[in-house]
Amino acid sequence: MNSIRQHVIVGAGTAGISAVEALRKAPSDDSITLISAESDAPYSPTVLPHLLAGRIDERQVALRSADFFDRARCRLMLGRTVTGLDAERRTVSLDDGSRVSFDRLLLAVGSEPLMPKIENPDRVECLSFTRIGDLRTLRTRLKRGSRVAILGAGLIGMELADALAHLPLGIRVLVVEQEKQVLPRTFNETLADEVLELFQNKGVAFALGRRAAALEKTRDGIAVTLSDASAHVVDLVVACVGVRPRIGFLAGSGVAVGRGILADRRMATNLAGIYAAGDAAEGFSADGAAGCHPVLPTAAAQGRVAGANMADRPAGHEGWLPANFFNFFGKVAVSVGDASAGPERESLKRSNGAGHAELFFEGERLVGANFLGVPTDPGSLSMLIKKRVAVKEHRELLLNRPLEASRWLAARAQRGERVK
Amino acid sequence: MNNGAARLLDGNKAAAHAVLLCRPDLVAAYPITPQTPLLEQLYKFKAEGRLVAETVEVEGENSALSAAMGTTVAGGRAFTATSSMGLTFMYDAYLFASGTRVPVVMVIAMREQTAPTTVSCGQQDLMMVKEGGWIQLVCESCQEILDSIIVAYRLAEDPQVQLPVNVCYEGYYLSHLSEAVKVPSQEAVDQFLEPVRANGNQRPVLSTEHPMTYGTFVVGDLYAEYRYKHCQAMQRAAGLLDSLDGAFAGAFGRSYGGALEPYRADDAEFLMVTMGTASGTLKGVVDQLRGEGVAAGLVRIRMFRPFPRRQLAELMRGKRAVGVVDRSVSFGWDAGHLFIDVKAAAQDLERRIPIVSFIGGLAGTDLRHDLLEGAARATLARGRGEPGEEVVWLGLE
Amino acid sequence: MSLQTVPVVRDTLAIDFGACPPGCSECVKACEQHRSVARIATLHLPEVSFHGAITCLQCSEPACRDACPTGAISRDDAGVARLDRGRCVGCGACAIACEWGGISFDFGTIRAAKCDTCDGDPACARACPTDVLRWVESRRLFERFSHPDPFTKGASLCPGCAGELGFRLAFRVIGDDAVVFVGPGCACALANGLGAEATTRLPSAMALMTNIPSLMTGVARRLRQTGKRTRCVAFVGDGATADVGFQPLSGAAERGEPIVYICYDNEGYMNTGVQRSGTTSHGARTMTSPAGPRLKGKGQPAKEVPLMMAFNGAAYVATANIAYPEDFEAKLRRALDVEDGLSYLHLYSPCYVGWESPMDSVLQISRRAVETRMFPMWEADHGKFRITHPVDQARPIEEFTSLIGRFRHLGHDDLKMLAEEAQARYRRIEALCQAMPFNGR
Repeated sequence: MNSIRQHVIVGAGTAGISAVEALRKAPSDDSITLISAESDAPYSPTVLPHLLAGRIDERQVALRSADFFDRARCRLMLGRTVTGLDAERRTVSLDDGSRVSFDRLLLAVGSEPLMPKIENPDRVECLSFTRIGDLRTLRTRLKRGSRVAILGAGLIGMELADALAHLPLGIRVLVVEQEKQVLPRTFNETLADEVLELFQNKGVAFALGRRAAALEKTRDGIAVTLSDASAHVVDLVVACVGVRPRIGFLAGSGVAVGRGILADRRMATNLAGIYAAGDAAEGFSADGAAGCHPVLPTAAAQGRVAGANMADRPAGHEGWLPANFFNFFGKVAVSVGDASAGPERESLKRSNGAGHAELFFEGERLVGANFLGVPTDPGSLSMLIKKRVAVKEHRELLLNRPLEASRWLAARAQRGERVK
Repeated sequence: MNNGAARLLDGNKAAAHAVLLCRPDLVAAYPITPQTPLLEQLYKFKAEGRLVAETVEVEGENSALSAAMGTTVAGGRAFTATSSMGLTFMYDAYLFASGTRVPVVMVIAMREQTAPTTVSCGQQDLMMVKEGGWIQLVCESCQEILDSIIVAYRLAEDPQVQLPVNVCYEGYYLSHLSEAVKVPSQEAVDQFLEPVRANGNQRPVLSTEHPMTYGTFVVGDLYAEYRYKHCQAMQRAAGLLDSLDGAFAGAFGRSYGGALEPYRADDAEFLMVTMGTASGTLKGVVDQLRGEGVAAGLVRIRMFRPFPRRQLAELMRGKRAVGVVDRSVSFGWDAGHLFIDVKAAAQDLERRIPIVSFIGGLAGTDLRHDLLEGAARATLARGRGEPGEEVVWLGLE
Repeated sequence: MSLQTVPVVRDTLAIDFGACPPGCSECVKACEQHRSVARIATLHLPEVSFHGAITCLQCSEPACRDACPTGAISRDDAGVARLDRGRCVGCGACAIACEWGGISFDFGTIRAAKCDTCDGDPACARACPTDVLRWVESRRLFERFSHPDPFTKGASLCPGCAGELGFRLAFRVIGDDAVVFVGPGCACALANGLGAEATTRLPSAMALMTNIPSLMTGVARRLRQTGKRTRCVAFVGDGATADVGFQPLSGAAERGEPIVYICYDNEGYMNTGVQRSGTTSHGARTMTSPAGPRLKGKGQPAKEVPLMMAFNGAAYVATANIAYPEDFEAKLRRALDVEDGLSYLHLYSPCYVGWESPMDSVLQISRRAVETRMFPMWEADHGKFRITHPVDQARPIEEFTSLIGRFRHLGHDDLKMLAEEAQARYRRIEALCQAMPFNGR
């Protein structure tokens, strides 16, 4: 029990760093090695659109201060990609041919961009937007008046569109989305339409209900042919159709994978001493549904749980709850939980010129909420949904004063005692 | 010399007077027959304002001894008393007191041990605790009870000893028997105890001025050191009792011979050995046999623990037989407890001699003259080469 | 330096949540004036008669920090989670991650803001016209526990032991004019020495399981005889208190011995390897109340020793809980003041080893025990009862049992039974408070 262990963490994103913190919470002489495929100090891809929009510069995005890894007695191996895992001999192999031994391993390897199935005989360059390298490439390609096609109106695509629209370069953006609305699965149709209008007012063009079918190089640029046969000529194409866990290197390793690396609530994989967290992990939602949830707060929580378990301090992940927060041209859009209509569900809606709010209830409890332009507290709302707090009695209050009411209800539930 | 004014006192009252004279700081005891009148007498003294000690009406014997220990480890002097089942009920504190070297004095008004249940006299209760690491003195008379308690404090609190002491006497035969007892003056007792008066300031005690850890957790070699020192202190106590007997005689004019009392033993052909009141009857038997020309002798053991084995062996040397009269039973040996000790002491003799165990007087039955005379004659016969039983139950049909 | 969470008490902004005067927002105004964007909010909800202030609680493991993609939030050595607004991009991740309403998101500039305590001189607390907002300095808190810890560092107790924490804190209140008594058990590792080494500078005694209050009686009587005010204080587990050693405790209480007896209740014989005791919770599994196809852990509810003591002549009886140190301190001081009888404190002290819980869980368990009404906090001062920490609405029992492995075998119905017993326990104390109310000392 008391022997010194070697912990190896693959991936220096939010999950990996949270795991380091959890591992070092209790005193031990265990060693920690953090291997990152990136050469840059650990950062979160969430910052990419903000970097692009100039809200912050690259020197300001390190997830932890420079001395963090020293203080954590954590060995950093940057610019090394893990190419294989030998669970039997308990080593991971790196792209330079070397191996690193571990007693306990955390696979926080993150995700890689999905590429749309698209005819591309000319091998036109299709950019992605998930790493800082992608941002740098995009920046060198962007010129005044560039025409950019963004494939996908999901979280990344819309954030990118927003950032591009903010740049003072007169960039013309076309967003292609096969669903009939923007931000499908995040906002319901009503709010999505509102968001769409915000973008359109800023000159962003949309091709909804269609997908890109082919790319061709033309004299004038790149011709993007959509499923309805319409063609749009642009200078750059950025694919933002989603990400998938980076699990290719695990083939034959014995680690069970589904969509991602299968992990239980302790973030343990099927193999003893091997854990997974973050975008690469297929964990559980607050409702107990298995799945990947490649967003930052989930990565932080799962990394913390994995690190605690690696240090023999039993912990479990309570499950993720979808929650999103956007700033679209000065208007905040918030979505928490499952904000979709259903047979067992009741919804409550309020809308005026300034904002929109819609709440969804199942029985006594809140299950989802959408807001646009209405101040609210997504953390408190998440708590009420996750902890299945009975709130229906105060539904009107929650709808009309979501910021105050959600905080009051959450605080009451957190304390479990008298709220005078 | 002030040997005290004579008063008619039973053993319990004599003990109470002795306690009063020793000026304890705390008395804690739980009533049990036949010790109870001792306790009641002390409360009477307290009500009269003569006893200034703290009194604790404890809820059991284990607490009685523990409270007495508490005051003693805090630098005070304490007294407690019990009998029989009360003694076994306090057994864990009993062992703790000796192992932590707490110089407390406790009377055992000796009684049989349940079961079968009885409240009558026997020495079985003392035998239950003989390996408990205490100094154990056994009395023959009410006067000896009073005197032994005074000596017990001097012995217990001596810096060379620092051990708890039992003063033991048989229930009813002494506890409830009234005799003329000389009660010495307070000044005389104060003077006799003067050498240990400041003992509470000298020995390590629980105080904030000089903090100590009491009852520390011990492993390995240090444990052996504790045990070794405890054994050494027991042996020093044996020597000290002999010299205190002289000092006591000097102060009060009474002497009991120290660890044992020989009676016409030097030139005896055979010896009887016993503890407690049976010795009085046996002295009569010895005198009778001497009258017949038979050289009988007696040794009364006063200090049961530490056991005066060398002195006893010295007295047994050259004798033809030894008979041991016990008011107790060792189940595994099917003999009396004192018999076992005598037998072991006889191992130091050059020549093997017959040693006979006589068990009698259980549950308060009388160890009558005729029974003890029979025992003595049987011992003599064995010494003269006649066959006989090694263990004889006196008076058992 | 390391990242270990050092368990020290930090300066903190204390909020009496829900006690604001209706309509008052002086704190918000002060914060705005001082810091441009308010980092504290008032919740005025007249519809539900609620008026309260809310701000960051300065978590020891701030979820907002973990969620911030730009590393703009960090926790400094004073325990304050600070937001570097220059690095904030307004992504809202912190507001999603914080479930305590601690992020003050500015929906005007679309940037997060959060309380940094004004570096220890919060404008809000200065502006608060009531006692709702108070800046509590750890220095002040430590004035309550002002005596130096009399026990050796590095005792052979498990790291994270609730009993050890309670023991050390108790004597930081009691000070050096005391004799400390322990029994054979975990706590003796702090007080009884090892071999020739002492483990405390106080005079200390390790007694037997069966005689601690009696030994104390003898010592206390002697100390009083010699004119000393030195207090005799026991710190003893539930085995020696509730079971094999109850008789002498009962005797000492009935006699009115002026000793202070603290029972650290870890609900089992832990030092001998986790066996059930009289205070082990109903249903908890131990080595002598195992769970299996034919047994469901302990088959009986815990005996309520503090109540027994309250009806056994003890002058002052209180339950205490190490998750509420100020309350413990207050009760301990009261216990030390009482000289006309025995003071009995029953200190809830989860043993994470025996309870099959994580090493760092004892405070959370202790708090949940109170919040679920498993462990009511009350005192009885000379027969007058009061609840010292009312719990109007009990949290679900699962929030307590889920932290504790030794309840893992229990099913829904078993937990329901536990919850009902807890409610009954609480109501029993309430009834006593009603029948024998406390109206000041």
